[in-house]
Amino acid sequence: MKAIRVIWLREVRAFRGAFSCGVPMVAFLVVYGWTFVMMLRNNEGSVLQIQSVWGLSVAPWLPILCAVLTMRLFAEERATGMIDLLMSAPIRERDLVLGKFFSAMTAVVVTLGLSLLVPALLLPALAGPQLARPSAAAIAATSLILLLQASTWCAAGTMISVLFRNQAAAAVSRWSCAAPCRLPCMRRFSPGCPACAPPWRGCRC
Amino acid sequence: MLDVAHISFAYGTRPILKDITFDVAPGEIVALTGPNGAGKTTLLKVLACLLMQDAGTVHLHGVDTLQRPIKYRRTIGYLSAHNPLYNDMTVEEYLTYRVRLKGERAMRVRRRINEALSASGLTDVRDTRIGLLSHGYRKRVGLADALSTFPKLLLLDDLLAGLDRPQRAACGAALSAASLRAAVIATGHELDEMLNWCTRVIVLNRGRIAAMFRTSDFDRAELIEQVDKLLADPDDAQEVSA
Repeated sequence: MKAIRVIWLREVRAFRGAFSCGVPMVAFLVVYGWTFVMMLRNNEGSVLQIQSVWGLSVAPWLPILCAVLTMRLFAEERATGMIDLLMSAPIRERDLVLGKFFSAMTAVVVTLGLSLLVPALLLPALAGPQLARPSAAAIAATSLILLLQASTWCAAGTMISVLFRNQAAAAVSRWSCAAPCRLPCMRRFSPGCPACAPPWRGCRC
Repeated sequence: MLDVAHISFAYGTRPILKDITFDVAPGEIVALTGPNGAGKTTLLKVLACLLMQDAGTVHLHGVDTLQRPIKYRRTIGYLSAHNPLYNDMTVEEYLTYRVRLKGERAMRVRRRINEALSASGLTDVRDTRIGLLSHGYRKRVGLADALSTFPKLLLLDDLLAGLDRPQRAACGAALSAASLRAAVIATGHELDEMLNWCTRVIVLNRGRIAAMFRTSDFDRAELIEQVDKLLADPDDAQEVSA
């Protein structure tokens, strides 16, 4: 446990100052915010559940965010040779993997937390008195679903990062592996999501 | 006591180490030298538990590398040839991270770091970011990391490469101090420099031990001449028992 905590702290620190974390987080929030607004516009006049709009706006971009956040975890260590030094310490492989995985998840949790600011700030301004009080339980359930999705993507990203020395190659491979199974699932289970009806083409739901 | 017995290792079908056998007692400083591609780094990686030998055994105070790797790693300090470091951390932050990672108790971390900084002559740069340090200082940070938890076995790959004469002397002094409680194996090509502090020289060639010399048994110039002769004419190399 101690080794996991030490590695987690180091990675969170690295994320905090890393170009590979700040830029993807900002980019994610921008595209997610845009998707969120487009979904609201396309469903103008109908009754919407905030947690659904939030979840469906976040979900399509989550795999990309996770791919970018996890790409450096092991690829960077392998490229710099730091992996040798890490493995010469008395730690188990699983401690190393879990420490790095949890650090990526921490970044995802922070990003999801920030993404909640968009509905919190936008909706009162857009909907005014028509806005009903959102259910905390529903928001929590949606958060849980998104976190479970993110953990899957982060686990896959961490695993793929082990195989590469080049971070970009790791991210592209991770996304390439996920895309074929991701898109059909989204079409079947997420009607109305931007992947099946991209907001720039108008909603077909 | 480090006991290496009949180690063999191959990358795929290409043999790198062939039947390596030697032992190192606490207090000994062994200089491992040989031409490029002789297998020095690979041997050190096997001893550091980073590579698993195909045959043979490595024991440190009775602990087998294959059977109890975590316990074994707890007793070693390793400096990689490339000396990778986290450039975004200060020297002190990096050493704190490494000492904690090696499982040192929280109450001892500060003391260990201060001792390692002092032994490596890094006290004045403890708050400097590693990315801003020169090559020599970076090497000393790596050495401080290897020394930090009082290991029983120090494995130092290409320690002197790229260091100027005063820094080499400083490293030698640090190693001599560390050897009071540890066995030390240092690889490198700077035999002339290493003879200032090593007690034994092992010459590795084409994955085999070509010769072993105790420095106390030879005149300095004579030893260098013998090693040079071995490396210049490897086919004539005969195993010399110390």
